[in-house]
Amino acid sequence: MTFKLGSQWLEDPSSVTRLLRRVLTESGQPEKYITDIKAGTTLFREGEPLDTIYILLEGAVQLFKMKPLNNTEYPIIRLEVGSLIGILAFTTGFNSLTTAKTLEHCRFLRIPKSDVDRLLDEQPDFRGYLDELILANLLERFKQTIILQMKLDSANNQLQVERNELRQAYKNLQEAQKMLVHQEKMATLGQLVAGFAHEVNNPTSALLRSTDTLESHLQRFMEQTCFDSKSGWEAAGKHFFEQGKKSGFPDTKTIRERSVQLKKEFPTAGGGQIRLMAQMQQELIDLLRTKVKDNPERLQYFLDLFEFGKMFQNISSAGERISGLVRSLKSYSRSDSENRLERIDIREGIHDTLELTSNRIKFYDLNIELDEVPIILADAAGLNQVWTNIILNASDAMGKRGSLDIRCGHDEDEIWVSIRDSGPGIPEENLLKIFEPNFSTKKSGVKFGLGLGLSISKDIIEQHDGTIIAENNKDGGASFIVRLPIKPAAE
Amino acid sequence: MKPKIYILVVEDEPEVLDSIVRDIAEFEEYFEIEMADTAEEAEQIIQEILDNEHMIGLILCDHVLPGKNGVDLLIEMQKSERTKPTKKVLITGQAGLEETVKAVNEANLKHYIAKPWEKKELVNITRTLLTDFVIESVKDPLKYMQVLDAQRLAEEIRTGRHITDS
Repeated sequence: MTFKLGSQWLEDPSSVTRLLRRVLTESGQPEKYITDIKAGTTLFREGEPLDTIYILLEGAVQLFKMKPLNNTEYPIIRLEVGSLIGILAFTTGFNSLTTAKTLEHCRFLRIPKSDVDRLLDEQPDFRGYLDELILANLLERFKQTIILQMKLDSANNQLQVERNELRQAYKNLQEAQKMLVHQEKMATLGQLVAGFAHEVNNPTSALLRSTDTLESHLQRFMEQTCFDSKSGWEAAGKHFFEQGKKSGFPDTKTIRERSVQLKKEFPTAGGGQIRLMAQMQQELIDLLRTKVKDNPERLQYFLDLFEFGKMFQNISSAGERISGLVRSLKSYSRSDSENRLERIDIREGIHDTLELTSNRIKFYDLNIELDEVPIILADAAGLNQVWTNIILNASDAMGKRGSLDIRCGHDEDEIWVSIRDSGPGIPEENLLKIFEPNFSTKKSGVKFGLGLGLSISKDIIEQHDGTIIAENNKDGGASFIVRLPIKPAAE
Repeated sequence: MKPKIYILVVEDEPEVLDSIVRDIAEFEEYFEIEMADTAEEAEQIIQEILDNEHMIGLILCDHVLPGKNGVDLLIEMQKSERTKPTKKVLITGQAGLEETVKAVNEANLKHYIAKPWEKKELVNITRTLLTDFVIESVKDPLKYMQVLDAQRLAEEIRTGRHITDS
């Protein structure tokens, strides 16, 4: 069936009211029902029984619903001319679902329920028009519901977008804060290192310089007092001194084995003498044997010269080690550079890191294969942090023994660094988690005191637009693979 | 063959090992000095020395060693009846408090030496501990009076706790 006015209503909501009004006029009692109500008047309240219907002829009415949580009224729909107000209560007989208030001065057809029943009986046209009106009103409400639903949807979407943006912003803020703390730490470290390096370099240079001077004085002294070009053995003394300077250290087992042999050969020699001789080249032992054959009391003399040389060698190699460590520490923390981004060969940083972590890795089976890589613009100190974190993690995982393979290389647009250990590997479910902040399998905090773990490593690599991943090797242990894009380095 | 008393030095860095041995060389007239660069090698040497009916009076042991570390070696020596009497010294470059406490508690560690050490300090500790060892484990401490703490040795002999068999 089709209602005559259904579609017309959508075009012009007031047409039905005009018809209804005409019917009422024909019944001769229109004025009885026409009511003027001023703005801001409450027609009925939510929850009250309703025994009157209102048909809006002029003005506008707002329906409100009570919010149960805070007991405030919440506007839900604005009704225009042509609306039947109280339609749900009227059609169902239930108490009113809403509160209705006039928004402006309004004119209604205000008909008590009992009159409606009478009119329906007396005026056949009235029923038709009322049905049309009810249907038209329901149509309008339905349309409103759809519009509201769509508005709600789009508001929800908007809210979701904003919530995601907020979440991202919060995450970015956290990352930024973490990086700031980290950079602050590195800057402090850099200053400390600069001061430390200066302080250590001074005594070290004094040590090395004095040793050089001492050596040249000693040489002159020996030449003036001991060496005699006519007889051969004094000249040989210089040879012992020079050999001492070049001598290395055989391992203790070799020393022990050679000592047994030498003791037979030099039965009168003391333990210390034998120990020194055990560190000599065979050629020098042969020379010693011929030199002391007729003058056994000369043995200590040659050994002393040999040991002089050895001491000088020890001092200078120890000094070199100190300067080397200081140099590595300085370049590691980049305490001498202002700009964070520099054109670097990343292999230098890897070497520095290996030098500085040597006390943790020196007992491992180390395989370092660093192929030539292009120079890139990078944060040297930051990358050093990454290598350190990975290497120290590997060391923690492996304990005392293990093997560590460090390789690097490049293809057309990426440099890759792979650090592979022979530890127990990483449980599959943790392969991604290890890069999250605060993830740790260690019992207590950071052991080395510099790194903030793998999450900071990931941040640093991502700042270079690179990637870092962890995976388990087929034959045991874990590998970390860092990829850094090769970008045309700006000058 | 008369039983000899050994001093065992365990250190993996040859320069450092060399320096320690040189610093205590004055005891060599009366004591044998042996060197090892790992705990495992030290264990072999200990075995040989004891199997030959000699004694180990003192061990000077580096802390960080490849493989088994110095603290563990000292603790194991303390647990074994044959090496319990040996005086034990830990030489450490990075005095990690936790490890040192462990050594003090479990290896009955009376002394530790921090790197870099002074010769005088090393010699004094060596003398004190060897004197202790000789008093506790040797029947005729008299012959060590030249190189060890003569006063304490004399006191020991005077109070008659030692009856010399020579």
